[in-house]
This record gives sequence, structure tokens and C-alpha cells, in this order.
Amino acid sequence: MGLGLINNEESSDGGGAFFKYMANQGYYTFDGEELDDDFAFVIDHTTVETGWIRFVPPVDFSHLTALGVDNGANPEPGTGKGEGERSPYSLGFKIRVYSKKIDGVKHLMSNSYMAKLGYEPLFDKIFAEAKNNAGKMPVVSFDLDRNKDTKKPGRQAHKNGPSTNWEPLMKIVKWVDPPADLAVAETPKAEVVTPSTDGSEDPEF
Amino acid sequence: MNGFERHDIDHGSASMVNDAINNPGKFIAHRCFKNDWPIGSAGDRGNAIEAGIEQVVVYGKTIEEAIAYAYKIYDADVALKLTDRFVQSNREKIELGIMMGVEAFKPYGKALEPELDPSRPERKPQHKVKINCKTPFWELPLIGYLDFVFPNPPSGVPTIIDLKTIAKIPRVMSKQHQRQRAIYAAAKPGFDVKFIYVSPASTVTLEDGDVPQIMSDMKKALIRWERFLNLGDADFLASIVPMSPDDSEFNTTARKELLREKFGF
Repeated sequence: MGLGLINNEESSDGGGAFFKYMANQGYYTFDGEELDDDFAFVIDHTTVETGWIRFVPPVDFSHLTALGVDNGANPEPGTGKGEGERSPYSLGFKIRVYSKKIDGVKHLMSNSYMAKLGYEPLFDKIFAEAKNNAGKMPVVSFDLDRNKDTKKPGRQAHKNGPSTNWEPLMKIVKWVDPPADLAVAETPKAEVVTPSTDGSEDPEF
Repeated sequence: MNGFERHDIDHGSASMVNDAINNPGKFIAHRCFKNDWPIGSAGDRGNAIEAGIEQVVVYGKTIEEAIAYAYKIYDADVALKLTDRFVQSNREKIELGIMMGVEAFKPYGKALEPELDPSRPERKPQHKVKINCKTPFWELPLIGYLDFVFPNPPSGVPTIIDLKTIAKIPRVMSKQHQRQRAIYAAAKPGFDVKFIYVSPASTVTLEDGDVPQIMSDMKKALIRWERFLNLGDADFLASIVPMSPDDSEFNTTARKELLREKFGF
């Protein structure tokens, strides 16, 4: 599938409509409908999970773990780079998100390269700012000031042969008190990255 | 597989980050194509002076013993540097460097004895530190080796000191040295981290740079490089990285050949 987003994300709580980022289109969808470019949503950064995800049937999300836990080895490494030889697993992420426009709490899950390109710096910003926003959660959206004179502001085009995929350029809009629906955590609390001071393990940054 | 893994890079260092920021061509030549990047005799002089000072402030040897030890180290290191025109002139600076350096270290008392790294028993004992650059998608340990550690200096604050032998004393630490200092400071919370610069004329102690800001910038640089490294193999990266035909890092015959062979200049 190249760099395109694999579109089988499980995204809802208990079934229902899916919330996805469509890298080949450069927009988010809910229940198959495109969401506006200025769509913003709350991220529960305390329950981010990462790990090996398989969207190719049979789907497998059992290797996701809280941040700070070793992702371990690929459960099914590829045998080469050709068609049918690549591993069906890729490292990805799963986050709980909230917006009234997507009917409350949903999961955003992806192991696509484009989504990871976009969300990696976003997570860095979130965890850097979280220290000064204890108890709050970030509201995020496309950063429409970036690439604003292009066809898709807030996204970065990546051409791959005849196709184009879109990296989401995300920003933190503001920090808010957690919506009540997100208050009950269903996944292990992520370890927010802070330097160790007791010398018992290697510090991080 | 992340970009670092793709190029068999399992750890980083201050010099790696500095290359990533300032010398992308050298980064690719050295760390992707895996070419050796030996230091010149000026670097060997610095190592010899450090080894000599260590004999005094760690092991309590005399200045004379320290100088003799430093010459032995230096002569072994430069033995095969047959084209380096500065071998002799650098050797002549060792004695003075040790004497001035020992004087500069006096306020800190006795330094901690370094430990042998069990994983690398062939190397001389060193104070190894590690800090992990961690993102949700990859993790890269940055490793450093501390020159001198003073756990109980008269100031009362445990202190790490890195020694720099240099031709001219700086007023402010270079950005490269500030990055090295930031890694040490972040890896060893609670320690003061100072750099002592020793020139033939004088010495100075500096501790410049906003550590959190520098660490944040280094992380951003590493995130960019991980993405860049993931674009392709070493040959591909060499074909697209912006390079100058007279890159000053490619300043020896072997490196000029590398510049021609790998980068097309």
C-alpha cells in the first residue's frame, strides 16, 4: 500500500462510526464523511499507546502498550521488501480523542508513515507542554498557517510515483479541562517522559 | 524499522548530533557508509594532555610522571600519522598543557577514578553516561564519556569537568561544546558541568548554554535526521544531501577520494 494510510482503523468505542485520518486524501473522516479543515479535537495524551499494529486481516492490536514500555520485536518480521514479503505489522499509535462532531470519544489509530510523520512532532509538543498544563488535555487541529498558500493548508504533500499522500501538520490550539467522557481511562496511563533523577535508570529527553 | 536502525546506528553522541546539524556530508560518510574518521595530531595532543592531567588529579602521580605518561600515549597514537605535518609541533605543547591544566584543576580536589566498561574491556576506564532521546516511535541512546568527575569538590556541588586544549581561549563556548555540555548535564542531574579550556597562554572555565533549550533543539534535529535517514540507503542519501565540493571536513587525500566517489565532487 506504499505510504498510504491503511483504512481499517478501529476507531469507535463499542462499534459504530469510524474516525480516521485519510493520508491519501489529506483529511479526517467520521463515518465516511470528510470533516472540515478547521476541525479540532481533544487528545487524551495520558493514554497514548504505541506498538506493532496489523491492519491486514486478521487485524491485530494486541501488541499496543503504554508509552514507556518497550515495544518489543516485530511479531512477524518480513522476509524481504517485495510484494508479499513485507511484514504485515508496523509500529503505530492509538489515542483516545474527543469531539462532539465525532459523537464523543473515539480512537484514532494508525501505523501509516504519513500519520506518524505528523503525529510524532505533535506528541513531542504535547509532552513538552504537558508539564505546564497539569490536569489538562490538548485540543489539536491542522495548523492551517503552514503551507497556507497551497491546495491543502496544514498538510505536507509527499509524492510517491503517480500518487500523493499528505502528512498532517498538526498544532496544539489550546489546553482544556478533560471532557467528562474522557475522564474514565480505559487504557494504562502513559508514562509521561521526564528525566530520571535518582540514577536508577537512564534519563530521557 | 526507524531511520537509525535502517543504517545500523544503535546510539548517538554529542559529535553525532553536531555532525547532523553542521556536517551532513560527514554524517553520511562516517555513520552511514561507516568510514573511519580519525582525529588529527591536535586531537591526539588533547587526549595526551587529558591522560597526563588524569595521572595527577585522579591517581596522585607527580607532574614529571604525568608528562612522561602523556608522551608515551601521544607517541603511540601518532605513530602511523605519517602525513600529518603537525605531529612534532603538537608534541611540543603537551608539557605546558599538562602544567597549566593541573593548575586549573586544583580548586576541585581529587577526581573520581573511572571504571572499566565490562562490555568494552579493551578500552581504558572511563566515566560513561547515557541519556535516551525518546519519541513515541523510536528511541536512541546518546552516550558520552566524562573527562573528570569530582563528587565532593570544595564548592559542595558535585562537578563534571571536560577538558579542551585549544590554540586560543574562547569567550563563549561554541555551540558544539554547548551541546556536549547539555548532554552531560541532562544525563547527570544534580551535577555542575564545566568546561576548562587550556591554551599555551592561559586557561578559562566556562559553562554556557541553556540546557533544556539545547536538548529540545537536539531532539528536533534528531527527529529530522531519523526521517531523512529513512528516505533510503547511504548511496541514495549521498545523492541528495546538500554538499559543497570544497567541504572542509573532506580535507585529507582519503576523504577527498571519498567526496569524489560517494558524493560526485
